[in-house]
Amino acid sequence: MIKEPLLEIKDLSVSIKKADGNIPIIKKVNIVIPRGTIVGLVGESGSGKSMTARTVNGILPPKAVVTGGSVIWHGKDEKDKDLTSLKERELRKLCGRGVSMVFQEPMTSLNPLMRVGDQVSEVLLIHGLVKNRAEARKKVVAMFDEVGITEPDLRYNAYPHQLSGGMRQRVMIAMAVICEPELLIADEPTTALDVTIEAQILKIIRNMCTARNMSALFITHNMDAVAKLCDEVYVMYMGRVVERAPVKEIFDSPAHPYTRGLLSSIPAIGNSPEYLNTIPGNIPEIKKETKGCDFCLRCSDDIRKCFFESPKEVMTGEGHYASCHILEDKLK
Amino acid sequence: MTVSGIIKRIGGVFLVLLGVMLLIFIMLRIIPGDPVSVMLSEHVSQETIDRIKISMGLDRSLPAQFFSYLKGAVRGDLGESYFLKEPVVDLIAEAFPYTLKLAVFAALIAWAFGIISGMICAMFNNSFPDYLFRGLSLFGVSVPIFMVALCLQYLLYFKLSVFPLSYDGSFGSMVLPAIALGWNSAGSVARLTRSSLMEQLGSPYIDTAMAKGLSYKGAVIKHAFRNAMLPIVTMMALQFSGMLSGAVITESIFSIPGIGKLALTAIQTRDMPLLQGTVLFTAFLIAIGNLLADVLNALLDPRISVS
Repeated sequence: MIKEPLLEIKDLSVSIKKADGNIPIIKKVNIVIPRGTIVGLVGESGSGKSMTARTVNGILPPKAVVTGGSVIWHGKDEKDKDLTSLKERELRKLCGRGVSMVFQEPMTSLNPLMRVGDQVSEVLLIHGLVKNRAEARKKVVAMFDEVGITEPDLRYNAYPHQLSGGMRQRVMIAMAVICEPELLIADEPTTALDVTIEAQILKIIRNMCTARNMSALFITHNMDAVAKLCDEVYVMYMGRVVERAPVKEIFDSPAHPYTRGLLSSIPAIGNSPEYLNTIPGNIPEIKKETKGCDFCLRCSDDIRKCFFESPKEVMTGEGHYASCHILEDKLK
Repeated sequence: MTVSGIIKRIGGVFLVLLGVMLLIFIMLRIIPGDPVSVMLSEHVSQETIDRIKISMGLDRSLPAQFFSYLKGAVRGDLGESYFLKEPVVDLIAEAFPYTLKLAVFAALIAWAFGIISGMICAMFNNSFPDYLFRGLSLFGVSVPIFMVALCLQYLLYFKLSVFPLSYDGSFGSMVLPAIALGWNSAGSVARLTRSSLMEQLGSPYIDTAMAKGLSYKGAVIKHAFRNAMLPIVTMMALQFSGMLSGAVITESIFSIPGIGKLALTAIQTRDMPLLQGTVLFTAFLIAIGNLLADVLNALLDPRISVS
């Protein structure tokens, strides 16, 4: 059964403006987020995951510009519009209401001078979903309770520095879901948290999505979190999607050498501590133009073609695609 | 912020004042020069000098002199000016309104200019307006007050005759001194506003505010500005108490009969009670300015408490 898409990122390219020309950081990325689905976006730091997500709600850093492609929104408001060409005012109206976001750093993502409850109320007030502050407060307290904040009425008046990291991230989640958005973007929401808190936060996100039939784009470099949370996975490397598949497929039969590298880097219990698998090398410096496969320098089984030609996307299973010359040759 | 915290701080202010009193008392007695011989002509007999010294209480031991001064100060009596023959408290009360008027005027001009230009710099970072106001603010912090004052007098009095040369009681005659006195403050407020606001603009909570649906401008005004104001408020409170107490140069150049002018007169005439009084009053203003800065910060920032 094919689910109706909520958001389609088509051939999206983003560059950083520099004095001596543009440096591409996202290259022709295609991502489809169906309704009621949690899509995972994984990759190393600097692979363009966050940038891709930030293009959706238009909070790119000042020097980043969209150089091509589109982000088509199929939600209730601004239906079938390209978000990258939407006017700033219309896009801001959609943000928080249709698309919301949870950030990586719960320590710094909240305004330190405002009571956390007021910061959540602000979303309701901006979008005119409540008549007054008292009504907003009531809704916020109920939402705090739902995301597992103990003594929600008391916590409403707390300042961010009085809460723990896990509590702050719950506040962020409450802020993101209080307007009942259709899409939740979670940009590494558990990276800054303890493992035990991480599990709780993941569970809250999962429950929120199921209860509200909300879609989510979950950005992480934690394969374990992907396995627990996501329905579909996109793997990014150097600004490109190199593999996409349903979550079970990715773990059962990873096709792209990069994905295989990522999965084998997860330490298993029982292996000796000296024996930690890594992907050799680092992400190379992003240059203006690249030739061949971006991964060829770190790939364990490269062939001559990899250095000169960009690989095309090939189907390796049901809903499972990867961009790799080796797979291309195998499937011929 | 607790009430007991504030009370403790006010107690601290009194301790500081006591220290200042002791220090200025000792310093004035260490420096060479005898107030009595300055007051009188050279051809006065030693007898007369001794008689006057006794009448002024200068024959007693230093501790005794200090304690009688302290006793007077507690009752609001800072002695009588040797030179002007009037109670020091009355002289200060007479001079202070001029200084206050000057400081308020100077602060308003300086802060309005400083904060607005700092905001423009931060929001249009690395573009023409940023360069322009950054250059101006550098000019602001680096040119000394007497230079500014003389240039203003030359340009706006001699050349263009827009404002009067010195203070004559009218509102217009306050403009040049206020600009001169606020000049440095405007520069430093502009520079601090720029750096502080830029730091806040890069904070993740600005992204959060925009993801909520606020525009960039809304995020800056509702979220970044208040955070950026924290260090600026501290600076402004200290600047204001500095302006109230340190306008010696400005008041002399524009002949404004304020506290600064009074202190200068006291120094020139070896008028010990008057000098003690003005220094003590100045120290009091600075201590209050510091206290005010801390209280304001605690009011604005929930992470800080007074104590």
